[in-house]
Amino acid sequence: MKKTLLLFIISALVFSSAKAEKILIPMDLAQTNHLKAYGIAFWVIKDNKTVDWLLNYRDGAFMADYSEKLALECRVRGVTFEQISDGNAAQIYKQVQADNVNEDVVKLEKAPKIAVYVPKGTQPWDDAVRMALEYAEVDYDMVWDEDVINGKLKEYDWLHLHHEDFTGQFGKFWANYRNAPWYIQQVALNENMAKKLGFAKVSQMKLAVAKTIKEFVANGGFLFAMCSATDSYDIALAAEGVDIVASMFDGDPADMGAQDKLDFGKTFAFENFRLTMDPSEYEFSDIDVGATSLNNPETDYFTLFEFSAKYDPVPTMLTQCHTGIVQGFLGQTTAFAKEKIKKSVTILAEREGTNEVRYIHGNFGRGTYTWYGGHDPEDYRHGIGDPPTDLDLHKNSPGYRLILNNILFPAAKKKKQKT
Amino acid sequence: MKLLITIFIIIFTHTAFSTSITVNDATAEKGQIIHVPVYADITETFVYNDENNLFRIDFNFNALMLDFKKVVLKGESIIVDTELTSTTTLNPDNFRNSSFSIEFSQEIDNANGILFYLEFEVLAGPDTLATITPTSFTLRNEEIKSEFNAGNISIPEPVIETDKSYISNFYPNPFHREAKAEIRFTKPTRIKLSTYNLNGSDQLYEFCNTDCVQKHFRLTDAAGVEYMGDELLMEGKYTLQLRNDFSTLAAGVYLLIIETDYKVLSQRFVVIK
Repeated sequence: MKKTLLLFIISALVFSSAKAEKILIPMDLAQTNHLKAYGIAFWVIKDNKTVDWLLNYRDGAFMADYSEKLALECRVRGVTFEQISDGNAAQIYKQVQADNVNEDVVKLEKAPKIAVYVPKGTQPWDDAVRMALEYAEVDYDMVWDEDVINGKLKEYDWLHLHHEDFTGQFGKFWANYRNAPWYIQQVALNENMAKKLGFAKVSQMKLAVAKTIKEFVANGGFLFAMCSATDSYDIALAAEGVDIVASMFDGDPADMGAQDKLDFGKTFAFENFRLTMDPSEYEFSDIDVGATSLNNPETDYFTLFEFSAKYDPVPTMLTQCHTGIVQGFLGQTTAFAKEKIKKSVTILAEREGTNEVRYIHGNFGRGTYTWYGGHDPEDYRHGIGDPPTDLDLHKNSPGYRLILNNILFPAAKKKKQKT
Repeated sequence: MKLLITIFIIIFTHTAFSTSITVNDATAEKGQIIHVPVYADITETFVYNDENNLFRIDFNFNALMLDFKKVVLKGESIIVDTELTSTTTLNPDNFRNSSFSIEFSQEIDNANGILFYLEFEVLAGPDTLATITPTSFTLRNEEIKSEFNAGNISIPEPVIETDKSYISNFYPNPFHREAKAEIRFTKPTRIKLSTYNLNGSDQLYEFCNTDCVQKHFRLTDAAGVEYMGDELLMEGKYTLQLRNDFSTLAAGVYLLIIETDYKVLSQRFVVIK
């Protein structure tokens, strides 16, 4: 009897020690490297395994099946993880799925194919998303005008646009940089590409690109844009068939009645905006607010809205963060004027007490788009030519975390909404 | 024998070089044209005794921040040759890592000082730093072993011109009965005058009502027109007369505070018995 009992105790101990069945990656303040944690989640689903995203549980923790390989990868990348038993995991799932808590589980099962819209050479600015992807070790391809026009977007699930100008005004750098060799070279690059693709003007080529991207979203693509790509994209769509570009950009004067000819029905997120027709002003329209009222990092913070994890999983995924208040950052487009945002758009973050919206999300056709104002979450005033941000110094950056939420949410398995 | 000497000289030439090329630091504002000195310490070089001493120095620079214009020769320049060429190569894959090179034909044996100046237009900024790095130094296509020191062009925030309103020192100071100071307002404004001692209490208000306070100050404009009370003061210079009638202010150190609609001015004065 004693022998049997001893055998039972030993086997129970052995069994329990081997029952580390799950890896929990906390995303609260216990996490040492939030950004690389997203890379781990991506790495798992890319390996055809699944990850559970525990929305609002420990600030958006990840849970995956335990393996030595995964534990080693976490250690190598410096990501904090906890080894937990199946029993503990079951308890966590039970807690997260209880009706009385604003938490839920989303299964991530297919790694999205990611494309970043960027020219083959370099841009005069740094792209926060590319930096985030590279730091988190998430694979992506680069596509540019020629690829978009030739239908390459069909190969991708997720597309990112950054500091782009879809209006064909070359970023409105003319006033400050028209004699700079790099600007002259960029203009020539765009003009040659327009010619090659059979467009008379760069503005026409960029509109064609914008419309192709719109089709990509309509067919189920996920679009994420930051900085000037957000407003210049909608402006280009609204101005289809209207010349809003001054002579120094395309050789002929702009239509002075352009403002009244804008069609806001064609845009994604913005309406009733007024164009900034002055070619020397580094601004596209009055969608962008903030550049004048802000400019002080000590007072510039925005607040993330809280959504119902069980009823609104997508906005909840996009706002998973270990802090509800995020340091603001400037860009050519910093914040969106609330009164210019369409009613159908979900506001994810705004600067409290102002009309400055920083982060929005909406649906179009079978796809979605998310706009995020500002240029670089960890460089308040990122100027042209400034050195790129070293993300190793910002491993827990809430601003960058919001970018990486966007990359993972297309991986989520769609489930029936509760409403 | 002649041949042997020549061979020795050539060997010596290629082993004994010990040079340094330093780009000096500079400060500039966006849009400014600057001349950055390039300092050379070429104390052990040897140049061939003919006219084919073609030197070349290559530099890396950030073409997003700086536009390299040309080489400038000024009074302190060691190079005096006017046949000096420069070539810029933009790197379309990474503008930050662009380059330019300088070529000149000159005897610069034992040179030590400012070699030449590089002219740049500052394109970017403010609040950033651009670096110019010498990368190679060659003579007749032969690399000269050198130490290279990069120069940093700091592009600070432009100084915003501050408001020129002021209050001058009181004269006399210290004083017993009466002192004057000059005040300048740059905008139309209403003002409030207060006199604080070092404990932070407004001495005049403690002894007088508002009317009494006004009696201690006499403010007149350049034409001698006296300020009577709460009217709007135009921009310009005024004279403030501070009267310590009946020794209202005890002996001590005071701070006069003038609150305008746009700025607070202050000046210290000392009352003696």
